[in-house]
Amino acid sequence: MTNTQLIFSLGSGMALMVAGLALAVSGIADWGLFWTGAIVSSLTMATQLRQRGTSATFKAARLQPATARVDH
Amino acid sequence: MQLDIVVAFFLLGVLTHLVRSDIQFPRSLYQSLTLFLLIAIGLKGGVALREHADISLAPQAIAVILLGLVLPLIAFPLLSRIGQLSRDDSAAIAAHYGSVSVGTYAVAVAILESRQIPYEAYFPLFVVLLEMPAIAVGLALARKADSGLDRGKLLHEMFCNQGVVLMSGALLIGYWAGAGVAPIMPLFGDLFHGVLALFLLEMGIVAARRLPDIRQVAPFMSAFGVLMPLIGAALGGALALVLGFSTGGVALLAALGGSASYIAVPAVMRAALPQANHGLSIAASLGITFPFNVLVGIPLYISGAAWLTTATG
Repeated sequence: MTNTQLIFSLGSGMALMVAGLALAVSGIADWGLFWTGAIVSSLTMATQLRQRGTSATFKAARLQPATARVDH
Repeated sequence: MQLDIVVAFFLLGVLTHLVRSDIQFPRSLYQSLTLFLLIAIGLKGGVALREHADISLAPQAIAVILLGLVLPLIAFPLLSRIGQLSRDDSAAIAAHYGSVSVGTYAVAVAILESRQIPYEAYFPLFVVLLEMPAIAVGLALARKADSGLDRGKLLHEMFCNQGVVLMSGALLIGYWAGAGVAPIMPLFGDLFHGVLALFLLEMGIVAARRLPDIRQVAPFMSAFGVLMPLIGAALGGALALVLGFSTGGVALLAALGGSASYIAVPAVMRAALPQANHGLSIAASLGITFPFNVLVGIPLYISGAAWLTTATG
């Protein structure tokens, strides 16, 4: 996920939550839009965290042989 | 959350996929249900059109076509610049989101009828009109106009796909027959909600099955698949208000603006842009936007339309 996609997805999710909250509190609509925004935001954050985790593991794996050599 | 009876069948379809229940919907039955819905919607629209056909429909029709031209132009930059999808993928998905979903329209009509909200019954005319402009814009965006594509085949797919042919055909028959459609209405009128429930059961299974296809771009596509229908619905609703439609009409044009095609456009795009990732378009349209519209969007459009028409007098 690129930074642009991250900002768009997270921004959209947050905006949907705010709009959903406003509509639900004012009694115009139910909480459906709010929960949709929450799902989009959570999905984005979960994907981002998973990617960071994968990236960190990958970096650690690449560093491993060098560290092993120093220890040896 | 006020859940309509037909929408409950959609959720049942999703559930059956999640619990891996072995429900096999025969392909031919799904096709038959689609044909039934197209004919039922067209017939009803044709009868209503006979009562309301006058010159005032012309500006409404032109405005609706313009809506179909504008929507893909909004979707395309979102997909290509922010989503960083290829030009072909962006154009194909933009065409899906500029066109309409008959299933979404049918659900919107069913919910309006169950809540006894009146609407302009000649709306199927707009459904037919909204099918095509987005396809033309999508192809122009992909810059495929002079690529040696078989134009005859493309035009045939655009104007002679099952959605356009059956719905416009039924619309014409309804218009011509008027009250004469009564003998066939026990099938196409009385059974509409039951058939729609079966159709949505299958759509629930398909939607749940399609979701994994967008795994690689899930956050972006889920955000786009929800945001784009809301933009389309806002434009459609605003246009309907300007055109002076009733509350039901505002909700229906919002639902049409917010829907994404999964029958007519995929067939045309497969022929015109074979190199595009069509799985992505269908997954976004069927796996995200259709469920969103059925579960959240349509009730929201109806509430919004009621509030707006009351507020604007």
